[in-house]
Amino acid sequence: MTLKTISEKLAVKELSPVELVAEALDKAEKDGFGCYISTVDRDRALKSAVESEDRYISKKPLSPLDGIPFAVKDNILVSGMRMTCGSRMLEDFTAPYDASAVKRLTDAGCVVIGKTNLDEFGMGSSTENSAFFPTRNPRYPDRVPGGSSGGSAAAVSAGHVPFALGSDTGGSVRQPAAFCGICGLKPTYGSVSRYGLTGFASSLDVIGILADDPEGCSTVYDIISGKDEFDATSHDLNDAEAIPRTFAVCEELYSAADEDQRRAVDECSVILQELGFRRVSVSLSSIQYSIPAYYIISSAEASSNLARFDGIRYGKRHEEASDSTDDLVSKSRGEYLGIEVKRRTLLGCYALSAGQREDWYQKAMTARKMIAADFASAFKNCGIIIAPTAPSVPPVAGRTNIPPVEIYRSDIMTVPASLAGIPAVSIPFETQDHLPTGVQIMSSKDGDKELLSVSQKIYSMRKDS
Amino acid sequence: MDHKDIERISALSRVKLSEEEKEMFLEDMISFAGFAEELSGLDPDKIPAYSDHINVSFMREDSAKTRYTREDMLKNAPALSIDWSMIPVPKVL
Repeated sequence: MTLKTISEKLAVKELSPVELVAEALDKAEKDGFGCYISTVDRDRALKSAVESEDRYISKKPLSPLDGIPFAVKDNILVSGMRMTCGSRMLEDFTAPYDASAVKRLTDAGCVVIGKTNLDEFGMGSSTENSAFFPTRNPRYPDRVPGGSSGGSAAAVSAGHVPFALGSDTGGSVRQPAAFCGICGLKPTYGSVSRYGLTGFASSLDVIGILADDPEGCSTVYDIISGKDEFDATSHDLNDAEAIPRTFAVCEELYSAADEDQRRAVDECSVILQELGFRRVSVSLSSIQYSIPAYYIISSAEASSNLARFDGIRYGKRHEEASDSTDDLVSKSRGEYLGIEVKRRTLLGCYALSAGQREDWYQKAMTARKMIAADFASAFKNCGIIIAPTAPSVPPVAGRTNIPPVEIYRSDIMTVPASLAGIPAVSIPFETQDHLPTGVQIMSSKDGDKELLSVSQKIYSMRKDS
Repeated sequence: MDHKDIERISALSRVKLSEEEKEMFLEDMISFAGFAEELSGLDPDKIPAYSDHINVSFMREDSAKTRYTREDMLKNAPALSIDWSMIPVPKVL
């Protein structure tokens, strides 16, 4: 059932919030896919559901989503619940407050039922880099669910919850959405508050939404978007101009994908033309720099953001005696941070170190500005740009000995929109072999609402819809 | 890039590494350096005129607010003195 259907059934009392939340809790407790790191206290969730039911009885629901259960990626704070970021470093951390996005949803009557698994601190694309356990893809069990918001994508894909929050730094909402056969929105940078989201790369991080369809993402986005006094980078959506009825296929990304992904983009192109969109050409040649630029910038910011997890201010402390504070910090971080987190911390620290800053970091920032400028220029000529969400279908689970640089390259489809700060939606398609794939629809900044509206039309016209 | 570089970055980033990790990360960093080479032709002095949030400094009023208590904020500290007034660390002197 889509979010809209559930909302309509709640409004006419064909569904009850208590039944809905109880069913979600049952499913989460019996979860066999490794979606959750922790689930909410049952009594706390049911109490919220009873309050919601009372509001429907008195015909005063707080919002169209009142009484609807949802899941939250475990790098986003939910007051009173553990927040691990998928790391042993934060195994014992309890959130002292709600993230703004969570608070807006609970203020609208939504009920949190669990905190979902992720690649440690959001660093990975398979949800196999969690320090605790891997998440499995509910619809394609031998394949990875994608990541890093794999637990949130799996929870929606398995039908536990109608929507979930994730975070997207370089594709961590869009790619797992595509791999799990659902929709994912990476909003315009700053249009959703990051307050209460554990920082990975602050200039790229956004809280995103996973739901069955773009319309569901849109309803949630209405609630969580907008200026928040606790995030200085947040903003209200500017009045975006109507999206011109022209589209372009990003040829640079199209040619880098395999045949299955290209076929899905071709199908999407046909649908757009049926919807009255005219195809035009654009050039996004600077996209060739995306991957090194993204990994240098995101790792540099991560090395700074994660410095707080030192066993003194936050995080687990190394038990044995240490000679100095530095020694204590080094041992604590050496012991409790995972391999991928250490790799990127070292990479980021190197990128910012004397002598390297000019060669790596400044050039990466130059590339980023070129990419943002290329997109801005392209959107003068077209309303939306489409591309595959991933270069291939989800890899089989449990692969080992893949060089990190090769894994990084698989992010090529999603990092350009992150570097440019523009909104992007992944819409699910299927290959001829019935494997999941996704098409990414991008528009100019603050065009999120209309982008979701066009995406919903595309979604409804797919062959397999 | 050599072992000395890895030890230097390990110290700078305050992450103690095992010998096995040092070897592994050295290999990764060499591989990434080849990757970063793809940016070598770019000239930071020729930055395009376009700019947006990437270049903007976000400032707000520096006003104090008390939403949470000191105790709430210290609950997650890994170690605290009995009266919660200090976070113990190894002796410096």
